[in-house]
Amino acid sequence: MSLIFIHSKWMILELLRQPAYAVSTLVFPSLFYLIFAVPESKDVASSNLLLASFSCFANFGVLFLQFGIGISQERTTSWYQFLRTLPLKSYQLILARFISSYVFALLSIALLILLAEIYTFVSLTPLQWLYFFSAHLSLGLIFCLMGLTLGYWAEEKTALPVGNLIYLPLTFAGGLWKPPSVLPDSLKNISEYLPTRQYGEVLWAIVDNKNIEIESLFGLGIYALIFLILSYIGMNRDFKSRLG
Amino acid sequence: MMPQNYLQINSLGKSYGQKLALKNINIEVQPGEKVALLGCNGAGKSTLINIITGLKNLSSGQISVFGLKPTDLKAKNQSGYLPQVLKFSGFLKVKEVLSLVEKHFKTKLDPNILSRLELDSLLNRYCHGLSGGEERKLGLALCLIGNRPLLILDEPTANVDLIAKNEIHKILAENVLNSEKSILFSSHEMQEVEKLADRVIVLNHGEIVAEGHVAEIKKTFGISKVVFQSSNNISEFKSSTKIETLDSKNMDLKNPLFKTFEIYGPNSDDIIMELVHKNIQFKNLTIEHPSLDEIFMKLWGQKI
Repeated sequence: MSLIFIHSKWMILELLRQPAYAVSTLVFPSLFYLIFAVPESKDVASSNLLLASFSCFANFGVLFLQFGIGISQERTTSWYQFLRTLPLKSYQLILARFISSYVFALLSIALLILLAEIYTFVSLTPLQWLYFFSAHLSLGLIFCLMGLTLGYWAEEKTALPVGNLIYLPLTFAGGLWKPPSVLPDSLKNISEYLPTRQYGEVLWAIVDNKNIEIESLFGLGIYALIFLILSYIGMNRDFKSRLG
Repeated sequence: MMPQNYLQINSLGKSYGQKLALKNINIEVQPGEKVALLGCNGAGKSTLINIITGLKNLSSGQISVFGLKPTDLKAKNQSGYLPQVLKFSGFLKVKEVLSLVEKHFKTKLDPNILSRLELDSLLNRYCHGLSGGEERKLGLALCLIGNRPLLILDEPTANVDLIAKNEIHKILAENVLNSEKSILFSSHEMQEVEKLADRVIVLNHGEIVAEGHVAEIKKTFGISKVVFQSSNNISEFKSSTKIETLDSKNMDLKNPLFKTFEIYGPNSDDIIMELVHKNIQFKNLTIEHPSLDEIFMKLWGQKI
């Protein structure tokens, strides 16, 4: 267990020292929030909903995109190959990256909350905050599995463009930038089936003090299963090809 | 109970589809042995090392490291590996990389080794600022962490300068000399092999073509090249392993009757003595020590 945390620690330090990573994970969601969400946060209800949406956007970005790209790039390096020859199990390295990604995801959400507290009317009860963080932590696993799938199926050079091709449309069509009600008609029908939309529905229900719809949780469960299988196949495929 | 051999390989084979990379490899490394793996590029040295370190699967045969599978954590705990290419995570400092690897073992690196590898002054440097030679020295330092009894080194002194190379040789020799520690290393440099190894395994096209003590290999394959010009017809030489007549562009144009000959043999003195005894007229004689690659190329007629 301690080796997992030791590797997470160095991964976090390493990522913090990379301006490109730190800026894209921490600053971009906050910048988007300031530009697009703060002006629209006119009362408590809209402030809460927009914070929920943009926190989903931030969490999704780190846990799917950055995590996936990180895995894809890391597994081809000689440093990673060297680490595999140390008395360390492969899953310990993956879990270490998991933890480091979660730390960045939480930092990213924390920054959004800080901005929301300063510039908007956001107001949640302690219980709502507890549900808010619990939902992000637990549902974030689905996006980590999505990231693992990306990381093990996409090649080092294609992970970023492929990841963006999935990340940006899913964010938009899932209603995380603009509410689903203002999406073009063609997207509205598809939107309901997207993991980002279902993720958003859970968080919107929490901040709006409504019951979480079982369909959303069921849908997310299906996605979790799909990406668990895909990432498992991808990992096995990668190990087999590397082991020759 | 500690097994007799640190490394035991029996009838190992490795293929990539139809391509056979390694065939019927049998190697054992006993405690305290220093074994060099030699061979041209593509001979299968790195593939074999990757199998020993658990980075590649074998296709047939058996392998055990300390009596265990190479991927077993207990086997990894006892063997240090320096890959042919090791680029470090650029955003970590040298001391952080050392500390990270040290956390996997009970004992830390001897600070004396750090200073001898001139890494003590680089501890606060980010790894992306290291030169190729400094990276190599850091890689070697990482291998020496944990006082592991078996070191597996893939071209340990590639890209390092002469002074650092000598220091690495000394450190490696000190680390295994008079101890139960063993080294298995690949190299292209005969001098390195002579300094570090007491046994040599020569690979060619994935097969072991020669194995034995350094002196035996030198005797068998020769390490001297005598180049001279002569008007005589030279076709047979007792002391040589191979005679090569160079093509016309190397001929002496002023004296077209003189051809340039290269004779490979274990001892240049023997070749010269034979020239004299056979009354062969020669001029412009030079003695060279060809690289191992060159010897292999001549011996097996390969292009490298």
